[in-house]
Amino acid sequence: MIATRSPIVRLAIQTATPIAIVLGTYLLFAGHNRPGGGFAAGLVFGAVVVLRTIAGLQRPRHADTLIAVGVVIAVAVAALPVLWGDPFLDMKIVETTVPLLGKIKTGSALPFDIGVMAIVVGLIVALLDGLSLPTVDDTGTEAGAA
Amino acid sequence: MLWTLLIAHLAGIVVAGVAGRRGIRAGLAAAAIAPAATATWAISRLVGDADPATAELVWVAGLDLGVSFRLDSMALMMTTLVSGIGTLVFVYAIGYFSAGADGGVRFPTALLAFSTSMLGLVWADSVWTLFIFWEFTSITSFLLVGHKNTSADVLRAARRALMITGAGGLVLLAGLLLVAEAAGTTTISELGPITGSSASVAAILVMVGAATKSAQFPFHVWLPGAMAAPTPVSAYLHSATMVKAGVLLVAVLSPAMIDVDAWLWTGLAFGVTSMLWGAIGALRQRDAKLILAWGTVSQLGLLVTVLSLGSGKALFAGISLLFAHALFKAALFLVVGEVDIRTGTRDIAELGGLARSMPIAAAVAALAGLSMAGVPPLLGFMAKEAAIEAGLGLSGPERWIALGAITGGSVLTVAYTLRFWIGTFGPGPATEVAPRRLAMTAPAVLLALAGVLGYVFAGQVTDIVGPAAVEANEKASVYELIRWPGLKTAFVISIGIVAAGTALGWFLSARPVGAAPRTVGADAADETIEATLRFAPDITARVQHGSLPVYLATMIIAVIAATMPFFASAEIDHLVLWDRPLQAGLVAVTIVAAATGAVVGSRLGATLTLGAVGIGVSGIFVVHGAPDLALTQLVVETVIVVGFVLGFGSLAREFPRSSESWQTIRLVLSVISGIGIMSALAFAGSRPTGTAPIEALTDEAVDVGGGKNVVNVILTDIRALDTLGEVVVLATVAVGILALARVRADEVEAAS
Amino acid sequence: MNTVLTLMLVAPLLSAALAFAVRRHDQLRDALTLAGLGTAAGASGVMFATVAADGPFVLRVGGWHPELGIVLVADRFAALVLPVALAIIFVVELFAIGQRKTAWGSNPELSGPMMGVLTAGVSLAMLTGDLFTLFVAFELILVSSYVLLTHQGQAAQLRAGMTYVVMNLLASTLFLFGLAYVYAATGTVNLALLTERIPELPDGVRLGIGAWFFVVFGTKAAVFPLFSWLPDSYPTAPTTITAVFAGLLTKIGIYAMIRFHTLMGMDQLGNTMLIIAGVTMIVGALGALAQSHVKRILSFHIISQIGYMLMGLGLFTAAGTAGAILFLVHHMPVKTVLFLVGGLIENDQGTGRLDRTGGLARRRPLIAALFAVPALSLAGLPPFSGFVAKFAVISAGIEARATPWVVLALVAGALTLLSMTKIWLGVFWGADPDRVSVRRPPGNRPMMLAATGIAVAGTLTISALAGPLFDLSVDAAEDLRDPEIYRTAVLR
Repeated sequence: MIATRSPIVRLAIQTATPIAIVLGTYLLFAGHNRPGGGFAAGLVFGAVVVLRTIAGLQRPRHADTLIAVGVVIAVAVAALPVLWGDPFLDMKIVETTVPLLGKIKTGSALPFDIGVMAIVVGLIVALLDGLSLPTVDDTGTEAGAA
Repeated sequence: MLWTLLIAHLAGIVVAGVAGRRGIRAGLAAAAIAPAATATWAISRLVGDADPATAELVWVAGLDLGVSFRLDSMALMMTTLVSGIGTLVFVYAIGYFSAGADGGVRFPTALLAFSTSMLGLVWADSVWTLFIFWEFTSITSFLLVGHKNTSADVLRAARRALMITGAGGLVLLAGLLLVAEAAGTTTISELGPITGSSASVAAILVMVGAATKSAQFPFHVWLPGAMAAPTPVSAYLHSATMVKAGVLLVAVLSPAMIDVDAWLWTGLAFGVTSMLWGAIGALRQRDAKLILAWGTVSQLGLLVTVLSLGSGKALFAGISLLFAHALFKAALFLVVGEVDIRTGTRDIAELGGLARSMPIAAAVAALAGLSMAGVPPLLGFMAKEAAIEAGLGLSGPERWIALGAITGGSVLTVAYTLRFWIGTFGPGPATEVAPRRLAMTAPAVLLALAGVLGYVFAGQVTDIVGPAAVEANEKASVYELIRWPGLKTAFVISIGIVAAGTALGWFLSARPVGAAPRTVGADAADETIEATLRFAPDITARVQHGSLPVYLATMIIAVIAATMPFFASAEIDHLVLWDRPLQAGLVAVTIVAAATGAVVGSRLGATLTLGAVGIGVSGIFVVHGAPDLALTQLVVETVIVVGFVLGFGSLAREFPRSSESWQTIRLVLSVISGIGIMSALAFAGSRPTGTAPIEALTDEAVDVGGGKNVVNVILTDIRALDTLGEVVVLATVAVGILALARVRADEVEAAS
Repeated sequence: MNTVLTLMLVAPLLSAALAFAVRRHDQLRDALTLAGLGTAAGASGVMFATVAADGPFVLRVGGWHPELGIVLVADRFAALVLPVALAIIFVVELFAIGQRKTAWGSNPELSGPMMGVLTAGVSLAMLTGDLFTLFVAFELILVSSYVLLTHQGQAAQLRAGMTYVVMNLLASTLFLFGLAYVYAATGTVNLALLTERIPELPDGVRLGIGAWFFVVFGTKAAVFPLFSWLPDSYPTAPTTITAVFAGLLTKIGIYAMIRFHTLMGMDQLGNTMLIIAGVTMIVGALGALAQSHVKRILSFHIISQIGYMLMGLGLFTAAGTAGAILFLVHHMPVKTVLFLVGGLIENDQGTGRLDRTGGLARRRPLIAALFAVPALSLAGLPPFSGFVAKFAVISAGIEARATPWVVLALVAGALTLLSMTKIWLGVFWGADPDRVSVRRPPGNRPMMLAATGIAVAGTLTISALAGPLFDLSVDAAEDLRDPEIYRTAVLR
């Protein structure tokens, strides 16, 4: 496992974390109208997790929960319209006025994107879990030439 | 009524299974009920004069599959034989098996299942019904041959029998499909003469199928091996009934084949060789049961010869022979079984002198044997006379072939019958024998007496076999069985046959019994099976060699083949070099990166060049105005590169070296497939029959999807189902990683 | 019907996610899994009845027009095949739950949820009227099956899993290229629109697309020479997983082929398909003969039988297509059952190796009976469904005068019979094995026997109902051979 002990890198990553989180959140919400979306947001969050792992900093550990929650959200958003007689995966648009932000146009695509994001982050965390384990022996076989 | 009987049989199987738990004899007794009832009913119909009973059950209407029964005269005669002999065999088996014998459930149920299948076969009025029950008899025969399945010999014999009859079944299937197509019907009673190009093929295929079942040379090799079964099975399946299925098929299909030359000649080829080779085989054996088994091959050859002649006289003779053979051959087998049980051997070199210790058995064997040899006053004599008459009635080369074969085969038959009887019962020291069992003796006596009664009541027997033959050929109605023909040609031939056969038989019996002949044919059949089993791994090792790179190379070759058709529509007029020169630059970078990745030796280098390819592609996305895709692609590439690097910890820095020739192959394949795939894409769009609904997408995305970012609306709304699927894919991948991580963690824990 | 189709996708996914969340609570997890799989299976039954009564049903996902969005199409083909597939998964999960308490089961914490994902993938693959969504469905099936294959982490499984996943990922990549060709040529990936636009393409492009997808689906279906991933990987997985793979995975490939190539009128590929079919039948059957382990024999048979289905398809006649569909319906449950019985043998004897077993018919007549029925069916003997299916394909072949392929089919039939005999003689007859150095087998739980019994009963039901099923296959084939029906249903 590659982990850096350089304090400068650690500091840099620590500083970058909140910025990246803001960026990710922005991408998540902006997705419907500007570049972004749940997948990109999830990848940004995931990148934060990767960097923090390299720096030996604290990182989320519950990949399984993220995955399960993500799938449940996405599937629920997909299935709910059926309950009131709309087609499967019919996305609703809601326009509301929120204090400070003004008129906001959002819809069921947003929770769907949140589900997507949770799964992407979950995947990356799982990946790190998998890679951070010590190895017993090398069972990986080479697909060598015939 | 047919349904009632069939259901009674099926119920009987269950009852026999239950009763069999208390011992094999109880099971056999329970199993005998249904055949006994059927036999009684059939005999009552024989004397009466009723319309054919029919029954029908549609199974797969679209393919004409189903059960269609018609109890015509032929079926009635066969039912009498199947159920009548069946009943006797069940009774006999009660005596044959000791009370505590193994297989109390297996044996009676399998035997009754066979009996049921055989009834279905003889009642069938549709070629498919016949085929279905035909296959049942193969399976039940397999189970019965393998009754004592702990010995390797038995297993081989069972396998041989199943494979020959099973493969024959497949040939028959093809033949019957052609017959049904040519005749335009699958109903046997409506079959008319078929002609045309496929008729000959159909005839040969059907005849081969029949030959496998009826143990015709060279397919006969399974029959002697099937003698591994308990003797009741040999008597019932492998002499009296199942092996007659092929003969019966030849009879019932003869109306369709009347104009097909191939039918006659294939039938003669099988019949004549089997008749002679079987008889010679019988003369060489020293196991009494095997003598009879080879004799069955010979007799079946006679039946096939006579029936494939197709004339009315031949059909009449053939059916008469079939009837007579079922009776005397079953009796002979039952006697051999009794000898086996009471003396402990079937070897005619050790046997002899049993006429005194087993007088009833000796008498039965004598009566049945004389009937087989065609000596008056027995049923077999009248049938053989009819066969010779049928031969005499022919013209053309087939006359001489048939007559010669019948005569020659019959001489040999007389000889081996005599040798069998003398070897078993003839002069010799009186052997000590176990006490008689009534259950074994009585059925044999009845069957032997039937041969005598058949002679006495020749008119009544004619009333049974005559109408049966008429079902296959209307011209058969004018013939009858004749008790004493007077000095006609046929009778003279008969006398000659018996005289010559007796002389030969005496001569051979006087010689010391030689060693049992080697089982060349059976060994060849086994060797064919074994060779297939040996050949299979060779082929398999060639295609399933286990080398992933070669598998992939195979796939790539398939890919190259699949791109070929595109070149037939090669057009590049619609292509433009680039929208903006920047694209060319990006493509160049990407190609260079990809090419570098292919030759670089270190894993890290390969990973980084792959990352560069990804970045190049995302650049192309940007140029095309898809920042979303570019962004996502960039982050994905980054995460992947980092992931790879993290994962390299336990791997060597360099890729393993591969041989130069293999490198060349890979290079050639990738270049060709790359060019193929790219060209295919270029040609695919040459004459599009539709265009992507870009405007509709952009409009609808805003109006209905409520978002200005079309890509995102496509992902989360228009094609949200794809996204849903793909994120579940990601989730699943994550689960897989967690699973393997946990396994590894457990291993580490266990190791420490 | 909207709800019904949704349920087939959503119920297994939702239950998978929830079961995964509570995976350490045995009962809750199993109950959730069964509920999800059961709901999907039940919904498919309703779909079958509704489609039979009212004809094809089309669900426009999200309400989007087929020109833009995705459609799910419950035509008579999907409505016939999907219920069989989902019922199989449900029964196998019953077996798995019965087996999980023995040491030889799959890891229940993951296999349940993964079965859910697999189920959703299967439903999606069969229902989708969109070529890209079919790709997604293939991905769902691929990753979930890969996890199922390797989640126990044994070295043999990982090795086999490598072949499995690499070849299939390459096939997925090829699928994407194929989508690019299709989209470049026609501007759509909607099957209904493609039925209009592909036949009008220049010959080379049209056949190229057909050939390309033949390679893609052929790899999934494990036809010669693209089958290599199958026989190495299947036998390494736990029984229940192999049983589901055997019953479903390759069949999705052949299903996709029947749907795509028939709807798109790729008759000109018929001869190529027949040649491949013939070789596949024979090589698969020989491969089976070469093995001496129950599961390996059965694995190769999958390949051989795929050849029959491909033969039916390759004839491009109404009878041939119907035969292929009936074969599909017959083959899925029969193959699954055989693997379940293979599992029973292993659990009882400690091994499925033919040289280390024997005499089981005497000691375990029930297992022998459970084996005999599907084995005879597989060998194509009456009165079982395998006979009808083989009969349908072969008679279609005779009708089309495809003599060489009929001959090969018959030879393959004989070889199949021989290999079934090989298992029978090796496992059920013969002398009792010397009980040395065999891992102590855990034995069979009643629930495993019951699940196998249910499955065998299912195959018998299919045999008994072969007549109506054949009629339904003919109907399904009609829908596929006349794209107008499909187009009207989707686009109206």
